Amino acid sequence: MTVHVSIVDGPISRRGDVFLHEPPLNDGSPGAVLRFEGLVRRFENDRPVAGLHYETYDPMTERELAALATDIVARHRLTSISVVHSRGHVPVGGVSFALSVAAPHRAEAIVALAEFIDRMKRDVPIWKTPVWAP
Amino acid sequence: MPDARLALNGDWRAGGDMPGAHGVPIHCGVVKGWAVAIAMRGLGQHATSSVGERDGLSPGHRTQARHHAGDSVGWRLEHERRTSKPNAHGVRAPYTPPVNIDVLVFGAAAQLAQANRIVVTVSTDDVTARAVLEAVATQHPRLAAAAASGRLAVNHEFAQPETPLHENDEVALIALVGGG
Repeated sequence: MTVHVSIVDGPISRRGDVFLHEPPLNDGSPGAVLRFEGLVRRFENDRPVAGLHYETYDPMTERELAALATDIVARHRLTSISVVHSRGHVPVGGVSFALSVAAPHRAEAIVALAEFIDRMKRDVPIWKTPVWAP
Repeated sequence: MPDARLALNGDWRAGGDMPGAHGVPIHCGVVKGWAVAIAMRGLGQHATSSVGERDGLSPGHRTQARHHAGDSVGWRLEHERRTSKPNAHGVRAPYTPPVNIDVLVFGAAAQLAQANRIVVTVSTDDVTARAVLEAVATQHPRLAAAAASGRLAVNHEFAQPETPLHENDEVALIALVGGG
């Protein structure tokens, strides 16, 4: 089981900051890999935004992300999990959050991915503030 | 001699020079009929007025004390008339000044508070995470909902309600989060 967590300034590379931290997935352990990217929408409650500003409380934020990832790995018997979250300004269309989970079977991977996101939005000290479009 | 004693950060002290902010001593003179407590952080009008009322302070000391009174991270001068009488053994109930605690706030809570840091006052008898959360709700009503749904972090770890707080702890309100 491998766990990777990191926080990056600004948008996450579409080339895949998160995927760079994935362990080798071709060793026969995982049977399913899910990769998720969260993007900044153009509208927030029907009002146009220029982007979102993400605030973290360091080092607690990274610590809580790691604790959550470790718990999710254990609960769903994942083979790996990689998490990258943005800090600071992410413009519309930018990736602010990327998650990769690998599990022996797809069912665990799907449940684990959804649970991680739900719990992160509820518990992890990350705040986002809309930057309204002029 | 008036019925007065001096306290610094909650401990009784003898009168005289005490170390102040920036290493500048503050002289604590005799106060007629008043007990004077000097505690870190936060300043109010009490400071200036009671400094002016003090006996035994030289003009220089008054100026220095007023300087601290105007310092946003300086010293608070609080005063309380002591009306309690000693018991049969001559022991007077200890004066326990309230404790001021800085609480970091973030995101929507910071916008509501119009600050990244608020100050709450709790009783010396109950300096716990629960007491601080309750104080946030009552002393900063705009943050009542955030306090009700949020948790307190102490030194970057979520705190249980009964977790006691200590001097120099870093306290943060973790509320209204929403990553992703």
